Amino acid sequence: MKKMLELQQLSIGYADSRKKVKPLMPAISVSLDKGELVALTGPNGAGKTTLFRVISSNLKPLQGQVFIDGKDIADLSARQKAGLLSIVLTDRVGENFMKVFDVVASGRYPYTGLWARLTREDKIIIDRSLELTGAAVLSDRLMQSLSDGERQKVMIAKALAQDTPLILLDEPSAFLDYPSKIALIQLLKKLASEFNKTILFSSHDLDMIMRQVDKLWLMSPEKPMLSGTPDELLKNRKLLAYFGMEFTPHEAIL
Amino acid sequence: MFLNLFLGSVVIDSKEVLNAILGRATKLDASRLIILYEYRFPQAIVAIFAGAGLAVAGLLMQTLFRNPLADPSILGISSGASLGVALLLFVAGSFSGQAVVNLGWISTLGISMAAFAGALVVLFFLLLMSARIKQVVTLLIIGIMIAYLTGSLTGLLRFYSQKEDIQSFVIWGMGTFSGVGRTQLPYFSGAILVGLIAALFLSKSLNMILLGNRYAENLGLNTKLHTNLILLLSGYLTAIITAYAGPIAFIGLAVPHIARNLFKTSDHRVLIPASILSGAVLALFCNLVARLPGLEGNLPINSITSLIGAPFVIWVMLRQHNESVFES
Repeated sequence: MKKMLELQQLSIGYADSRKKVKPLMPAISVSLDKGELVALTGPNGAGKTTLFRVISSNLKPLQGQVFIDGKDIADLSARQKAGLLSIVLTDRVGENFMKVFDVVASGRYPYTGLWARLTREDKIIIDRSLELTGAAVLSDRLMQSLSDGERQKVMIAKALAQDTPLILLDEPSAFLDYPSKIALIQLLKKLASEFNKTILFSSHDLDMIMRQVDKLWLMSPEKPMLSGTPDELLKNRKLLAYFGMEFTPHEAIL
Repeated sequence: MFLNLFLGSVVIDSKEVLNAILGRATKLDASRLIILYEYRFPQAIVAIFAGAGLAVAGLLMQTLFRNPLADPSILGISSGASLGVALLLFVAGSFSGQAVVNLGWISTLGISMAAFAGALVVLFFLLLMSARIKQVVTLLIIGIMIAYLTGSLTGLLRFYSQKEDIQSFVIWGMGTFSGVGRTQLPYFSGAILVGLIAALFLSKSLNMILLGNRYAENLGLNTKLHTNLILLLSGYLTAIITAYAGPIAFIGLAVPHIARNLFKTSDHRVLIPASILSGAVLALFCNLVARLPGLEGNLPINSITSLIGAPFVIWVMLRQHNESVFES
């Protein structure tokens, strides 16, 4: 299997006011294969968002390297990275009069010229992205009129329009109601298995994602990251041990 | 535009104005022709470019900070201009022992230069700051602090300045579209035009920035560079216009909202031309009101822009609000 994302001896964290560097956890070395759906989970403050910021080159790693599709991102231009990785954030997008179609069309920006004129091919890709996420009916709506679930679909459609092999989603299920959460996980699963997208997303909805993902990345403050398939992690109660749970919660949910 | 030429405190027959513009024989006497060519025509042109420039400068700020209350003066660039003028008046006044206003034409040009210099100093400082900080909100707060700082310095300087100079400072602060003489008109218009065209070239970047900086970055935009470009451009337009026309309030804040509401879009490829157009029209209209026939001389533009603009913006917003309620 081809490695789509590889973190090598990656150390992440922030420098404090006295320029002292404090890694959030021991160095991370993990990788994702093409077409895998992987969930990153762990308590708040464990560094999930920080890791995403480093992978999407919004933040520099303290040490180590990030490879996307075999290329070290430190050597790539912003445009080259835009063609490899797309992101879906928790930030609310939608200033006054921003149309759904325009937001999804912005996914084509890395490929268009100075005036962002869309070619026929661009339009086909945008329509297909809207179709895939079930956001086609929203196309003419304004962003500010959407529900949280609809908004999430639109942002995923934008990421699809960007046409990247790797998609990163920061807590995509956070503000959704139960049915929307299930629909979202199923959509992500479909994108990974049918369209061969490599998808990494963070989530707290462990019970819901457990049976759907190919792999889990577990994070906890100052502990080394633990990676494995759901089955591996459930066996020997590795998962529970990692989060320091003494008792066994209802086995049925895991 | 035409009404701006026709109307004024000196009555000129409208048919004759047309004749004069079209280069036909006119029965106008020399003094009326001078009023037409030397005053009304340049004033109308300045109003067009100043209105358009301020509108675009305001739009750039609102997009950069994703804040509907941002305007060209929010980063202290126009207060920097004010400080420049106050400093000139104070220094010149205390060294020569004479009020600057008594120096004739040098004073008008001097005030423009001082305002421009003051605005540039603030702009330069902001760019330096922007290189050091990560969050655009921090930049906004620093800008607002600079505005307060320069404002209080200006107040102190005014306190120690000559009476006549305070008068001229107050007049400059009221704003005017008649501060650009015919000889300087081409330079002024050209400089603004360059800025407006440059803004058009930033449309795509502005659209990306409107999604948020991280999305913009992910779409391949060098956000740091473009933040600085936007700052530079907005500051450039504001500095030039403030230098010549004084700190004109409101147009930069209101016009982007008018443009968004009229054209129902957030796409800068539409918004920038729309702002240019709406800004020019609003400024011309304000200029017209400021010197309606029957009024003695010109009223201060600054009062007029808000007087006309504020109710108009409220109306536009309410209209949009009603529509969206109706839709849902």
